[in-house]
Amino acid sequence: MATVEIKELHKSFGDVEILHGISFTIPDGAFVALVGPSGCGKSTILRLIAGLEEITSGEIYIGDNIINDVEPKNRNIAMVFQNYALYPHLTVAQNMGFSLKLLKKSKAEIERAVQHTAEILGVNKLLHRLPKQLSGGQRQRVAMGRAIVRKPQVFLFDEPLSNLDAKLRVQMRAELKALHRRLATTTVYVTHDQIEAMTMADIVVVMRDGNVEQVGRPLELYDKPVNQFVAGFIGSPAMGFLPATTKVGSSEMVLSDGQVLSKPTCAALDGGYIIGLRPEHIQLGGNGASFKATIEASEQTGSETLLLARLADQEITILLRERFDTPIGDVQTFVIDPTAVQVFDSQTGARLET
Amino acid sequence: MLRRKQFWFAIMAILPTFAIFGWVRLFPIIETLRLSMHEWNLLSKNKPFVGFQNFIELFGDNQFMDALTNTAVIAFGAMAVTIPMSMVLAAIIYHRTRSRFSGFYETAVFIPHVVSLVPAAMAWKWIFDAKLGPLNAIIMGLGGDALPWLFDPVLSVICIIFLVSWQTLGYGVLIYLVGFRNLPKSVFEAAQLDGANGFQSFLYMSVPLLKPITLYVSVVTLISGFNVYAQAYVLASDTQGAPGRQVRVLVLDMLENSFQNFRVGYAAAEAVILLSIVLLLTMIQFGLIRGKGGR
Amino acid sequence: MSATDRARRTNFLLDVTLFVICILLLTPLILLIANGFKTPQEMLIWPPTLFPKDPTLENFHKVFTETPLLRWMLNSFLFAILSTVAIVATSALAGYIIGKFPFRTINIIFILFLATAIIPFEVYMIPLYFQVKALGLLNSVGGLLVGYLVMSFGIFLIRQNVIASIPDELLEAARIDGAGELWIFWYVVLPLLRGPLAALAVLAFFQAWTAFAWPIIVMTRKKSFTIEVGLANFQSAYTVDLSLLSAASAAVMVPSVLAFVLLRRNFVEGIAASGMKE
Repeated sequence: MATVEIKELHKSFGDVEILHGISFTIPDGAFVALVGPSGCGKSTILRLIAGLEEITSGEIYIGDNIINDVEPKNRNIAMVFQNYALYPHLTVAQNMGFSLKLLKKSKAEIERAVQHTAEILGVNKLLHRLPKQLSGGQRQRVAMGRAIVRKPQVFLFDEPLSNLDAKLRVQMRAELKALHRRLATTTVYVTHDQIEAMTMADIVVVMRDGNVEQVGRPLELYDKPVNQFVAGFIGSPAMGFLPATTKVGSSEMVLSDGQVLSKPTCAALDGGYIIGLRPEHIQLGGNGASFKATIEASEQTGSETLLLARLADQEITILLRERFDTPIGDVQTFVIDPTAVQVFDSQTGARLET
Repeated sequence: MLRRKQFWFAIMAILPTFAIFGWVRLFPIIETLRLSMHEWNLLSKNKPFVGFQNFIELFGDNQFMDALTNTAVIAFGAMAVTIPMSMVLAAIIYHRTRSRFSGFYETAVFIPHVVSLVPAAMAWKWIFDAKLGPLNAIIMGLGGDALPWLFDPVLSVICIIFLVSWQTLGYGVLIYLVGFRNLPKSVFEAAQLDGANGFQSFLYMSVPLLKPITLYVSVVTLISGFNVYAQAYVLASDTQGAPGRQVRVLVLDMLENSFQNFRVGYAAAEAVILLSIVLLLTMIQFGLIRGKGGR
Repeated sequence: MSATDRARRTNFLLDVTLFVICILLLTPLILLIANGFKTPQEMLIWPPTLFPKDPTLENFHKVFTETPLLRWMLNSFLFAILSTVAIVATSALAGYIIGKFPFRTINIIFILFLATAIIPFEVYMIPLYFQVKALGLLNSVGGLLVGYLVMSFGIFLIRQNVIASIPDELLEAARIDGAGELWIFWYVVLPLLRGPLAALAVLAFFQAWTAFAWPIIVMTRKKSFTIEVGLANFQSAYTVDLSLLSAASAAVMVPSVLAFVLLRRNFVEGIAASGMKE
């Protein structure tokens, strides 16, 4: 069983604490994405699982074994680095076979394993090349091949797609997902790109400044973010936030410029709050409770229109799934389903159930 | 217009340096090549042209061949000792970069290189002294026989190899340290995850990745080895002045031929041979680097 | 044992090994200095003592008052300083020209400089000796200097630095402002080359200070010896006095080592630069 359990993990570099007590569990065979802005500690957690850094306090379990003091090579894990870290002086075949060579496997066995893995990844024609003769995508595959050949219990990926161009990234995302389905190995995937996390992972862990903000399925994070940070981090384009006030008993939320939005249903709220509007939930409209915003910028992608608008002295983004031509400076009317509005506590940022 | 002005400035500015250079470098080099094909005994005005006779004679000259052999043995011997030792030492020092002693290590290792040749040779002369030196004292203390370090033909060459290696070690460590610092860290982490221990990392990763540096240090130590002179001069006698065995090295033979045997053309021919060896080594180095870089 | 403890133990063992190796490397020099403090009689004892039983300053006193050691040091120092100045001056100017004035003639000159860089001085020093003799400069610092006025590597080093850290635009802006070429060199280029010039100065000084083959043929009179040559010939004049010899060697050695320890950064920079020219 290759479950990975992180318990109360603390990590300090000198006097600076980077991780402040991280805990979460990764089920066997799951694809888990660690996502968050730069510096949140996600790569550090990965390196702690790998054994490349020392744990300050807390425990990491793989299966039933606590691995805090186990050497990296004995943890039965494999890692794909952001810059691939291929051995520049070895051929593709030698790169992939290196771990087996250290295990003193026979030449025939190594060749078989390397050949098999190379075929899965489509690099079997490149076995005699050196890394500098490969393209970015090919190097990526070789790096994965090197990890796969060892048949580890856990795969660790450290932002593997960030060095690839956009088109290749989309293609590799699908391939990685397919690979995971085929190999069914527990995978921990670090990225700063929330789209990657949302599309590839079974479970997403959102981190900020050394703390876990939320753990859950991708759609859970989208529909029910636990706080303002997660709500703003997940989803692209990002959710817009506006201060609003409301009174108990009233069905309205009042924005700072006096405009009124309908309260999300069943909300017994009183006082000042932050409301969140997802760009894709805002529609053109006129009927019912609507609001006016001034258009500041407009981008047409062919099938969608991305508008930057000013509402109640805040800038919000609006994503329309249609072409909509409007001059800058115009005031337009928009509407949003009240149930799609999210409400956050203005002090703590926590989302309030509606 | 501006360009012309710049051109003349450049020419004028570089003229003094080039003139000096021509006088102290170009002219002597050409003179050496020229003299090697002539015979000159320092005194007469006559310098008859003799073609390649000097060279032919050299290869039949026992003293020269002796010098050539000794010098080659010293050069390659010193290289063979220096390269592995400085690589390993640099690896260890690099590994302990974060230790508060790292400054001490780097300094200590480099001091032998900084100490000028003669005092260093003096220090070793005493150690190697057959009658008074601590080396023989230790050997005898361990039950062995005292050895005539500076007198025996083979042992004296070994002494010089030792001395030269001791001096060159610091330089090698320094260059290798720079090399280690430029190695990609993530490659070593990947190796660690693949299961390599410290020694395997060194053998399979560091050594191959440091090949360009190894090549450079090899050639540099070889070339300076072929030019060895001061060490042979100083170690020529033991500490009591008793004439020991002066190890014949190329430069010594050359100077002897020129100033003691009054055969300047002959000495020049030796110089040309020395030059050819150095050029050959340099070209091999370039060739090997080019070979690896290409493909 | 935890991973941390294991790492700590390995580090400790490595530190011990390194310490031992460093001490071993320095032992010959330590012994040399120790010998300088021994009485001449003690030097003849067998088995030899490591540290003096009756340390005496007599040797050092003798070395500085009765031998030409001080004079030799002065000669070496003068020679080294003058050589350093010459090399820094010629390298700075030539390196700048070659780096920023890529005319064909200049490039040919550069190739000539480069080509001769790998030829060791010992190869062509004999004809140069005759030049010096013809000029009547034997046994003088001037004669010594002749061999050490330029350093091909120095020119190369400055050229590399000039190309890497002095943008063309800076020079063009100065020219447009009406500055003369010499003014530009003195007030714009030189200040930017402070680091590499310092490293070069250290390298040049070291090269001149430790020169042996050239000084030994150019200087034949004892009074004009440089320190290296003087020390090497010491043994013939003061044969049996080993402790004196050691004291003299120690006296020569200690200043250079001290200088190194103080100027380590510049030194290391210069040597590493020579290594990275590939």
